[in-house]
Amino acid sequence: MSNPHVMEWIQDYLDGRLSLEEAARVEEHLAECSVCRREWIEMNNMKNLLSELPDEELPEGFKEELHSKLLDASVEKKRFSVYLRRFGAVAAVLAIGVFSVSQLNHRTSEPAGAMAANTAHSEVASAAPTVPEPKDAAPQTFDGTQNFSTSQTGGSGKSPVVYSGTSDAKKDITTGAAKKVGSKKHVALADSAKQAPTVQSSAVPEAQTLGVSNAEISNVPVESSAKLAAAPASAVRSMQPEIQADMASNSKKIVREGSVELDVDNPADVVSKFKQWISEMGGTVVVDSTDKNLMLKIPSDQFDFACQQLGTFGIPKGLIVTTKDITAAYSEVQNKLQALKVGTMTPSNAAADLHLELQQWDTQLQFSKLMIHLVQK
Amino acid sequence: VTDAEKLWLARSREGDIESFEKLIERHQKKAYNIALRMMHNPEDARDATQEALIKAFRGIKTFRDESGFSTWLYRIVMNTCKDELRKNSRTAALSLEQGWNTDDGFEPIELADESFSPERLFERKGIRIQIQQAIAALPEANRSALILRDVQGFSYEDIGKLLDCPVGTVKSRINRGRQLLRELLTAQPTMEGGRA
Repeated sequence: MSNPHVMEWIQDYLDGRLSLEEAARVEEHLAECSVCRREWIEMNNMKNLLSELPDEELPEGFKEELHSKLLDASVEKKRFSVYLRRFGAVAAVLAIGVFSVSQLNHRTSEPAGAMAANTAHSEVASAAPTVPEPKDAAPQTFDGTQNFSTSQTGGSGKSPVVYSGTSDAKKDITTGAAKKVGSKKHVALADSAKQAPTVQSSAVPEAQTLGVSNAEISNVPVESSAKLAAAPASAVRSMQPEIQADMASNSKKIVREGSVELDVDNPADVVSKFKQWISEMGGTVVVDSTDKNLMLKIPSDQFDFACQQLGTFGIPKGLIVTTKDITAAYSEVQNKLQALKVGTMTPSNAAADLHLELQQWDTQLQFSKLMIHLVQK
Repeated sequence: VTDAEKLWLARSREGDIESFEKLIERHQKKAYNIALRMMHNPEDARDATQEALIKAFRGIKTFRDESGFSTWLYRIVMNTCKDELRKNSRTAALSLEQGWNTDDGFEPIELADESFSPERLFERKGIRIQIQQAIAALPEANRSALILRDVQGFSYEDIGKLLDCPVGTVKSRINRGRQLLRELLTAQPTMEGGRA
């Protein structure tokens, strides 16, 4: 480290951070000085050893586990967003109430007609900005004309539908939204809605009172610790034909995924049963290293049936099914690929990426994922 | 940034999970390996990586610099690892001079032995494991900088962005980290259970 030596430059030299002139001076010194040369050799060897530490592969099941967590995060995010909007709406109503009382107190001497006009005007002005249009909530609506669609353009929005309740009841909060538009799907869900009056009666008045759109309410996930031995056959079947009709006619490209927690007696036994069952269906099962997280890839036309049968494996809790209409996005990618083919765009690696994307979508359309987290009773 | 990546980024901002997964596809292995060197434990590294990726998914709506996606992502990974390490009293109890003070008692650092002379150090088989142990024994600031520079090959400038510190600080942390690492690998522990 003494002045004649170049110890303090050696690391910069190793990292290539010296100018040509400085590097030449270091090299000249190293050729003559055994002390600095030893320092350089040791540091260089260690640096090489560090750089040669092999990159480990991702642990088995890493991506599946991450996917499951992302699904959970997505639902939480949307739930928070809806709660935030509800809070905003409540705050708006309270503010309007306070403001109105204040106006009344201040204007008791004004003519009644003028006071009413002012109050009405202030309500509209105050309420509008506090309930913004949902952008990320991707509310799902059953409008009878678009069938199982989302209100978000671009095809990337997801809409959780939550099946929750007892073994013979399906609570679908979307019935509150559907009621207004008179969908045929709503009619199909009417029976199960009657069996879940609590959810319906709490959702609809709130939407009406607070001015929150029905579409927003339809997106609120409902969680319940109640047993869900199986989603009721009538309710599941009521949606299935129309979704399948969309798929079959290619009018809509709809990807569906689900996640659920399943209380079981013997996780290993259940994993084994799932593997056999899904295999018979023509699907696959991936299990993470903990044997507690499963990803089922189920032929899409049997997805509803599979959800319906979950109760035979354990006690399902909070089954959440998200749907994604990728029709527009799929077409967009197809058009980009077509443009590449006819030479209107410069060919690049992007074409391979787009091909890959289409292939992955095709797989997602063919197989629906169901993420299951097993919990031992 | 390719057209496809821009597309995935835009869709990820809208909450599309598949697009986000495509976006992180070529980064997650590196993210995991950074976490692995930081945490020195595959299970902890797995958890930290996944937690970091979830944070990234939650925060991607506010991310705007398309060209700096990987830097942004790895920064989240580093910060997540640091947070986890701070929670980990076992790591905090490490003494460079003595070893681990764990709940099960004292565990000496088994790094050096008589064959660890600098001349032979780099010829030994199994040196990788010992290097990993030595890296884990470094102070967190030096470890972060050294892993990013010498293991993962980031530039000083990128490390500055990842660790949120000036390049000068990066340089001093790397230099000091290398010196400490060499000392650890060539040390001659004298405590009972160590090697004279």
